[in-house]
Amino acid sequence: MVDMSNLDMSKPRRDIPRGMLDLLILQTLETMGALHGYGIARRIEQVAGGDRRLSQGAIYPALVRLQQQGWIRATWGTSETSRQVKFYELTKAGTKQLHIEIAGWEESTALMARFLEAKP
Amino acid sequence: MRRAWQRLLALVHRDRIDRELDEDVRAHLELAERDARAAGLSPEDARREALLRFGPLEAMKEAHRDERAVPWLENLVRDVRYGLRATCRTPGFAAVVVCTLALGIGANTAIFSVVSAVLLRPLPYRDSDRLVTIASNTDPDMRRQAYTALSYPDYQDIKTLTDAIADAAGIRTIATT
Repeated sequence: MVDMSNLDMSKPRRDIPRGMLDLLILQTLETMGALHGYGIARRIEQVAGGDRRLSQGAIYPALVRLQQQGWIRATWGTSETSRQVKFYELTKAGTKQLHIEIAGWEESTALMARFLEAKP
Repeated sequence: MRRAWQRLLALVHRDRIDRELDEDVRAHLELAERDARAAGLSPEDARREALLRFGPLEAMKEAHRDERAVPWLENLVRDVRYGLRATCRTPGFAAVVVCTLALGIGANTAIFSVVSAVLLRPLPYRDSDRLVTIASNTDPDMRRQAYTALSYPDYQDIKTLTDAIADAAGIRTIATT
């Protein structure tokens, strides 16, 4: 179902911070295997649920960044509309990086949680 | 390090990367449109929905360029190319500009060589910072500066008797224009 909730302009759409977007993409590729850009964007939207803060286009600058860092690689494939399109997949270095970033996130969120729960 | 290299490479392959990005975007919008139509939207609405969800296209391309390459270098390359093209279109004007620049640079170089030799570089003698000229002032009240050469005996006295002067030599000045 396409829902039109993202047409609601009353809630400002904040961008996802770039570090977080990188992590979302890497995690998506680890879970799903090779995907094209649209596939990645849809998957992130689905996992994020109703929270549509992502302009789908925003993944492309992130993809080129990850590619240059050698964490993902692109191969040509055919889309469901039979168009030549790039499929992105994790490299070995990318898998390693993903685990580093996950550890980093868990540390940050644990720290943040401790602060928010701290009693005077 | 790896990224720096990749970014330089991206400068060279700029056109190909742009083309591939366009391909990706076209495929993306096509898929998004297809999904939107499958969800029951009219073709126009589906197209609109796909574009809307994609977000601002030009801003994305800009971000893509900033991300993959060296933006200032890319801009520099573009500016230089533009400049060369503009120059080739108006050769007369270009010639005038080149001549003006050549004259300006030439004049500056000439004047600087003189200034450098006369004012900036030390005189080509040993301990040139200790060189002084000695002359006698012929104005009886010492109010004006009316310098004239020393007499030979004065010169000899200075050379042999004065401690402040290590050595002395006679020079003769000639007025030139």
